[in-house]
Amino acid sequence: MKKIFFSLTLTAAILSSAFTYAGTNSEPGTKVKQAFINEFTQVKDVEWTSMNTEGVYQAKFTFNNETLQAFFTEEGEFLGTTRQITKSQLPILVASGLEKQYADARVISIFEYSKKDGLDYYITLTTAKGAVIVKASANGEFSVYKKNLK
Amino acid sequence: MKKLITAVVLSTVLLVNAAFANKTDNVSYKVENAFRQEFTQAKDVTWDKTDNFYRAAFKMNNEVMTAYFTTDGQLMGVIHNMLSTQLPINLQTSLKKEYDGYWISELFEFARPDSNGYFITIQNADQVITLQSSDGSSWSTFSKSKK
Repeated sequence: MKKIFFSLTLTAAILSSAFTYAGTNSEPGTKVKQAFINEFTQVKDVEWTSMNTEGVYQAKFTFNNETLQAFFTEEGEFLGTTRQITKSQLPILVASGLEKQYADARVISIFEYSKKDGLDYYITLTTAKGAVIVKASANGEFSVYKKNLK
Repeated sequence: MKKLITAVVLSTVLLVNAAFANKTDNVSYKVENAFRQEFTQAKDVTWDKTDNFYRAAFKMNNEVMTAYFTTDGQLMGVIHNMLSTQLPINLQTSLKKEYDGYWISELFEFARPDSNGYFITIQNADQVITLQSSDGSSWSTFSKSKK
């Protein structure tokens, strides 16, 4: 139960950092830096941030000409990566599901959240009723993550 | 089991490609309707037909896609040829880490109504490898052959 709660808190913190900047510049220890090198070979110019969630570091860097954020625990465990993408980078089932289920909505931003065990998309939309963030699995299953945003 | 089903459907889809010969505007209502329900914003649609299948080439979000239907209007799958930079990030980093020195000869996304996957063929001077991903996070070997 504690583990699930931690995981949910962590997901919220990671997404929060994707949507808005959160944290302070801080260099991590060797374990984290080594974990980063193992995960992202040939990457230079990494900007490190200590996040508000205790013991979690964010690395911001460029990979294949795209800006990515990768997240690690202070023990060097890789938690996942986020990046902002466009509609054309969505998997087919997510793109077609979005057009079917949110035909009248306008897409504001899309974040891909890649974890070791899966992949989710967080799509911020504006509709006649207000703004909403929907979560989509790679197989096109949608759920509302946050609504009535102001 | 899921991987096996995907492989069988994919093989069917790729095999029937060779049988498509003529463009047609004579698409049955069932198939046209199934297509419109699935791809509401599709543009520039063109159709081909064999005895048992329909193939629709179209644009969605400015990307070219190909969808395959049975004559009963059942969607078999959709293929989207893509660039490696359009892959989910874990798949890009995994390629860079594990297959540095290989070049990509084919890459496409294959979606069925309930699942999504990626197939990539890479090669070096000695071998050709096709990898598949059904979770968008990691690759597994689909086939491997020496040159």
